[in-house]
Amino acid sequence: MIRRSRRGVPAAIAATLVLAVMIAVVWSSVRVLIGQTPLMPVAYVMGLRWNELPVLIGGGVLAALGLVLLAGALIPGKPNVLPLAGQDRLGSAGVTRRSLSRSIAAAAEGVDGVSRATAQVATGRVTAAVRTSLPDATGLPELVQDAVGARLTAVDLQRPPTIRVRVNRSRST
Amino acid sequence: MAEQEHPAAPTPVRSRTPNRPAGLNRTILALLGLAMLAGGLYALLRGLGLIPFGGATVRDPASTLLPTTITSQAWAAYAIITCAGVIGVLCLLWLLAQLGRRRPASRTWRLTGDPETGGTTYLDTDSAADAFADEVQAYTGVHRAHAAITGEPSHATLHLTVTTDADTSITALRERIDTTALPRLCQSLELERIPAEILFVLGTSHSRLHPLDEPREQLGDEPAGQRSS
Repeated sequence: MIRRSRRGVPAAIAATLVLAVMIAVVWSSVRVLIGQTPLMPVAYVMGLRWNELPVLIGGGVLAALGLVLLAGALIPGKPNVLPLAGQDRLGSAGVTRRSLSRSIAAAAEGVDGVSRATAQVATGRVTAAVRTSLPDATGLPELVQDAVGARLTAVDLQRPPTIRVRVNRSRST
Repeated sequence: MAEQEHPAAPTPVRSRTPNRPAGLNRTILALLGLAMLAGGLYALLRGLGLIPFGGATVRDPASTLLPTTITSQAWAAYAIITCAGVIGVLCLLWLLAQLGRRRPASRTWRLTGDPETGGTTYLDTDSAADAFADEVQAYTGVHRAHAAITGEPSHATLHLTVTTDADTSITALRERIDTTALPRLCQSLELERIPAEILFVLGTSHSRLHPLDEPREQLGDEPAGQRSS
């Protein structure tokens, strides 16, 4: 089971911006109807010519933004859900990438000597970055690797990832 | 980038995991982006005088943005208000669609009738899904479970989302769902089997002491599968 981004955030931003523009347009038109000056500088806009700089710059920016939106809509994006192993009677199963990285970070933090841990999950590879204040961190990467490996075994991804561990030694203040 | 197909499934129809409003968002964003791209390119070309077709005004880069013949007539304002209002309402709906619950509408299935009484049983798939989700939610290590059943009886799919406690063994949980809850669901749906798509969200809460920790039934509902990792 694989799921990709819903593009919810760009959608929400786009919807809000367009909504705001529509509200401004309606408000200005109403003001024109009741005889007051519209909020937008209509006279200035009506005096603009196509080959003036604001129009050209505006056109360029519009085209660029449009390209970004189009790309975002067409490109599938990184998977949000990673498939689990074993397509049996159950059908298919998956785990969310975000929750998996949280869980792996928690597993790494459970190792003695680790004060804080973060994890990055990519397809095929998991990277755990841990912070320790131990003066001597020998053996720590192996312990973290074991803890992360145990967690991954309990989850059982379809594509078992390689595990990378990075240790940052922090000096106690 | 393969979607998981069910090997040897009796119903080879690929189910769509409810991931709304992914399709809606991507479609609207694509159309919007296309319109903006076209509009921006048009403005650039026209401003630089590069448009090869059209009348004299279109080819002249020094023409004004808006036709000078439009005066501020009342009908223009009304038209603008109407159009902008409609677009605004559509935007609101689009925004609201981001928040909606992802469960598709439930259906009522007609199950086989009882030959003795000649009556037919109707089943609301939502209630079957809810009962299934409740059962899974009661398992140790499960923080929350939510289920939906989509499709016709012949091509149905079960969608289950499980939020687990910290340190729960997913493999053991899958095994338990497969051997206990799923057959029970199939029984109530009068299906031999139902393809299931399960989404696990690994949570960070620590298991609460659950009064239902003890196996309720002795039908091979082994808690041995719950050994901690």
